[in-house]
Amino acid sequence: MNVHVEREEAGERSSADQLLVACAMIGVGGILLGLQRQADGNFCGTGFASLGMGAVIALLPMLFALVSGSSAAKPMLPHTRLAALSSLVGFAGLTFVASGVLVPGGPWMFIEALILLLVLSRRGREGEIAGVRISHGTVIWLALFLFARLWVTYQGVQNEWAAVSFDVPLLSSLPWVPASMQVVSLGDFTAAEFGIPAQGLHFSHTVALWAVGLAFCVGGLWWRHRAGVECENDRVHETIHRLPPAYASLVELILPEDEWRELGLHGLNERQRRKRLAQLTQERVVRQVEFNRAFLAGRPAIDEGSPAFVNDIHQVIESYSPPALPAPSTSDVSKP
Amino acid sequence: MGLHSRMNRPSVIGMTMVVLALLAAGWVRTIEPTIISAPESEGEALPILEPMQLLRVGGEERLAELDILVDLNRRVAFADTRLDLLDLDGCPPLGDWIRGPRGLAFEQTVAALSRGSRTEALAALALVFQLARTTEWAPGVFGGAQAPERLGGLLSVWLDRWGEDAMDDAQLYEPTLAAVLLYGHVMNVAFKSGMFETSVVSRERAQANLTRYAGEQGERRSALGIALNTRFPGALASAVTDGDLSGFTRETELIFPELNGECGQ
Repeated sequence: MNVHVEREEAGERSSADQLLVACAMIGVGGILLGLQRQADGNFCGTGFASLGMGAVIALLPMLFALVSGSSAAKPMLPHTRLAALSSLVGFAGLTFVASGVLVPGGPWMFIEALILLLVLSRRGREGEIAGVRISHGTVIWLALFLFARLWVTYQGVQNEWAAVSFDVPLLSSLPWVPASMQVVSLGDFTAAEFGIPAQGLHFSHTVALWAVGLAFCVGGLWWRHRAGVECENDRVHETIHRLPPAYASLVELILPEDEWRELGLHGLNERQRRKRLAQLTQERVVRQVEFNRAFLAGRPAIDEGSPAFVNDIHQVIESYSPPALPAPSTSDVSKP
Repeated sequence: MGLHSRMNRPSVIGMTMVVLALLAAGWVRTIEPTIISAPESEGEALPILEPMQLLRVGGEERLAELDILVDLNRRVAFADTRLDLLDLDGCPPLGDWIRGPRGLAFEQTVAALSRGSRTEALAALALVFQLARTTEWAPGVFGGAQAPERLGGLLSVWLDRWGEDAMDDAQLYEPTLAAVLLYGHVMNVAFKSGMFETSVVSRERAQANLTRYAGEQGERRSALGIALNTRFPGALASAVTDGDLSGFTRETELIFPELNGECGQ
């Protein structure tokens, strides 16, 4: 049955629709992350500096994915207009997220970007976020930078143009000591560097905009990734179901859907997908035949006092009932 | 035909919306912040040219220009008060003078003018600045906070009436900022009311008033707060957050050095 028909009957949204909604979420998130609210209630933009730096940072994991050995981690070639748009939006989404956590300008932005580039280039325990492999350490750094951005923005709103200021003990209590000697400030910045307008920012509204924007972008990236995988699975499913129904069922039995991505069936055009399916089916059938042959050739007897692990495996293997094999003289299926 | 090569109308609309959203995400970053500047006079000639001259040294020379601009009912009182101030010499203590008959008349005139037109409001403010320039209100070594508090009260009443409304008026915009500046400075003088004492209530009152003028209770600043934050950011921030009014004193010493509570001496 056609995938569209199946989903419509189940009252579900198609993977293509989900992909579109996810892309729209990223777009809306990008709009919100690009805005800040001034103290007079008007809106102004956050500028292009951090967006450009975010794009550079978003490019790095993509380059790593390109040179990655794993076929599943490699970016897929978009074969439809929707897939092409999704790829573009994926890159834009990562750019928005990176620009959303970086401070918007000045030397601090370069320091943060340098740290992110170093962290991203290190090998570590990796996870997958939105289809891009990012280590847990990178996520922590991103969270720290987001906190730093909010903190310095808050400081700027308070007209405190330093990340940290503290009174010098004793000196601060002496009225004749110059004010510049009474306070030590670390991490000075200017309003222009951080894009804070002269009249100040409406802090809570601005933070709310950025928080919702980040949530939309991160949520959209996650959804886009899942919908993208589902879209590709639908394409594989449709190709398989061009076979006669009995064959299609058999192919799906030996090539389970949750392995399609790992098996490199995603990101292929129709011709490549058919070839890959045929190749994989042959490999799996040959493996099955070899297993049956080995099974029928004889199994060792198990002693009473064998370890539990041996007994478990023995029971599983003995529960298998192989089909009758044709005569082994046929050599056409023995070669991979 | 492949699954995803079929592009129905809703899909095309959806993709178009996504592209537009991406373009909008770039475009919003180009929106420039609002530039804060004094309002323009919209082509009309202002009744008073260079109104800040009325508040600076030499302003008393131009006070007479206001006579014909003040409402007929208050014109005589204004002219009398103006002449009273011109006659002041020897830098009398503000506290003593304002308790006298001429001082009481001064207060009544300033109050009446403050309730009048915008030009009359400017006249009232010019009178207050003239009073601050020609009387002694600095407490000295053993003085008290009463005199600067009295002057601060005059400014505070004026700012209560005109502070926010003046922000869209080309004639009153700059004088209002100057009034806030002087208010912060005067109240700082009241706070440091002597070498051995401080008037905490003066500071608290000033902090509360400045916070109210700047609209800092909510996060959305008032027009006056935005203008102050643009012009005197450090002074306003210190005053609102810590009650530290010294920023206003430093600014006043630069802009109105003669307004030191000792007739500029």
